[in-house]
Amino acid sequence: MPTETMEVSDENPYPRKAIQTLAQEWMWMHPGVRIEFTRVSTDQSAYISWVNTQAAGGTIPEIIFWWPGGDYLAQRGWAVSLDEFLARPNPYVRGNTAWRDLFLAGCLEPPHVARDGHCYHIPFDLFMSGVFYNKHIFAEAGITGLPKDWEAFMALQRRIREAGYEPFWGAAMWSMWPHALFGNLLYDEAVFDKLDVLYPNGRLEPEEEVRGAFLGITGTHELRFHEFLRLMKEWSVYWKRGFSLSKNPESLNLSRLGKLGMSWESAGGVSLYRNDPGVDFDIGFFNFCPITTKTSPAGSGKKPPLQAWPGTCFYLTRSAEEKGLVDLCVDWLMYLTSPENAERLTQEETALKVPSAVAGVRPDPSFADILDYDLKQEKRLLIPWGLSAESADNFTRIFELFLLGALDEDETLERMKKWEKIGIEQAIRNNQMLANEADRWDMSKW
Amino acid sequence: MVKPATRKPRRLFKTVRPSRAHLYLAPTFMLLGVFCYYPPLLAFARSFYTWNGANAATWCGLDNFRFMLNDEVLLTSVWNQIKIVLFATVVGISAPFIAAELIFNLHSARARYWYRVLLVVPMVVPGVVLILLWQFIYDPNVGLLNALLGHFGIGAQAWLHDPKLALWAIMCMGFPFVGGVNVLIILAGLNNIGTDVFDAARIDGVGFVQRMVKIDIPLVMGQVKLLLIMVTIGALNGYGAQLILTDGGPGYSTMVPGLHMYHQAFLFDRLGYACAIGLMLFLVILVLTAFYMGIKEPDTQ
Repeated sequence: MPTETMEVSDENPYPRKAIQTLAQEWMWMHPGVRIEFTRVSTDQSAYISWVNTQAAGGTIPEIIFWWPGGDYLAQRGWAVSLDEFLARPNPYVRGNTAWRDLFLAGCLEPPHVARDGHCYHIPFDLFMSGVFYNKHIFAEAGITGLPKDWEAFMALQRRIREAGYEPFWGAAMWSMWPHALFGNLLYDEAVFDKLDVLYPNGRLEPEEEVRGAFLGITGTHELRFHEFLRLMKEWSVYWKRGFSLSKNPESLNLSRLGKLGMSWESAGGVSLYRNDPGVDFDIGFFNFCPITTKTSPAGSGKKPPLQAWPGTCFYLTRSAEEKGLVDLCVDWLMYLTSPENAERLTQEETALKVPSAVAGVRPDPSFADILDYDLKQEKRLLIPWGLSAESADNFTRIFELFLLGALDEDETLERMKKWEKIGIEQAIRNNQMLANEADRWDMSKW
Repeated sequence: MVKPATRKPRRLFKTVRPSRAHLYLAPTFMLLGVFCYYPPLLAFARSFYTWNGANAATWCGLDNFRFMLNDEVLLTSVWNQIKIVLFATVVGISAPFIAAELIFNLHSARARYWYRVLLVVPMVVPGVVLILLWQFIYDPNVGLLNALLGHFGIGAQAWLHDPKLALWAIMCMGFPFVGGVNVLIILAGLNNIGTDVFDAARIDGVGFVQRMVKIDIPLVMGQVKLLLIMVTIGALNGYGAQLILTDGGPGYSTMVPGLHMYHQAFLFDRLGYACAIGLMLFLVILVLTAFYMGIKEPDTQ
């Protein structure tokens, strides 16, 4: 979205107008057609409410942004499948035979497409995370090479602590990212195959996860769950003083002040202080290291894929279909996603520079060394963490007490088991209470 | 001959007839009814239902109340709340009382005036700002408190992130506990004591401490009761600091029933259960207020 003004202020730190310029250019090529931007809330729940009401009222714009996959929109019949259009050439790119080929591999494939197998989204940027480190602190601690396995990663943090700095923290710790990371590091393919049976599409749907816990396939009894607790506790010794898992942790200021050795952030988050004139140190990046059986009996030994997903995605809505504007809308999206225009969109000088989902876009040089990710990703199996909001919240609180030494492992597991049971019950009950009968799980198939 | 009509003298304000008074009051009380009475009554009714706020509510009788007895998070939060109420009651009355006594005993009326002004000025600062200020003070890495203690060789603490310290850190956030109207209420009580009482005490050779215990405390007991009620209600209802700073953590160490109720309603979609917790909180406040009101004031004759 273009910002209201290009004047930099606290409320408008990263002004952008590239999309407006591109719209202007496209309108010159299409006389009589006008693109209007609708200003929407940046608050996620407010935006979802807005989409719901606009779709219900039949006034939803022809193109909206939504998160990848788009099951929510597809199930309600609000989004238009783009499969047919993705197979057509993009006229704005010389030599292109299929629009689909312009995107990074994996962006338009499972697990990023809708559950019904159709592709409804056109990705615009990438949401990715990894370990960003302060090169000055590394040099001061005498660290010359990056770690190759988990033990080396721990040793590196010990050296940073010895040099007088806080070794590790990051906004990502306050999320499900650690569960996704350790899901890869302590991966068990056999478990995954037992779960991905109701909708065998290479990713786990909420119903499959609940079924897995209900049948006892996954849960707190698993070896990898126990190892997750143990490894996280060992790791927590190196987290910043006063870490919190129950309240959004503030880590960027500590990074900005040059007091944090490593920070687990998203590329967008790091851009915030990368562009900060007060930051006078260089930032490097590396991905997490594998956990081998030397470290843990559950270690997969696999290098985890860089955690990256298509970020902001464009969707065509049924408004476009009803008004006969699908071809025109697709043409506009094709124009936006030619590599040079995608670069103008994501690498705008005044805005946050984020990696683009379009192949061939030259990234900001500071991100150049982190673009070797594989968006196809292998099957993802998260560490199970409650199944209802309440259960997950209690898992986190119990886990926090465990990490802080207020609970031992047995007490922790005992309490988590109790919440695991409650979580399964709540997840099933909440689903069976859904107003739309089609959304309710058919437990007879379990 | 026609006599001119005698004109009654015009009054600036006519007496409002009772029927009209009701009419004028009606909008106020209608709004009061809609916004202040209807929601609690609805909450009372909803506490007997399973309700997620979106779907139709289902009658569940006393299930929500029964669940409370086994809700470990709630029971932990009640224990935290008892500690907060006790601390707030002791500190929230004794500190203002001492401050009021000190101001009251100043000889200079000008100094007394300025101390009163200085006590009132911080009240214009929004509560959220104060909470965020304390967040900075307590910051484990760059906070003021750790920097201060560091000068005395005391190691840095994770005030809000240590299960043993977090609740105390939250409770101590009002330090030195003399802000707001509490001191002024006690001061008003002390000012109402006749000067003849103090003169008599002075003639009888009563010292400062003896006067405070035997004269001042009994004679401001009405104000103390008011403060007791205000402090208790404030402590039982308040969870803003926890919501902003700790979200009840680490673990459950700063969880209070109010915050648990908020979580149940707005994070976990269990509005029926949240209503039941709210109803219990209301009853506890009601009983405690009635108890405080029943405290007999000493015979001051």
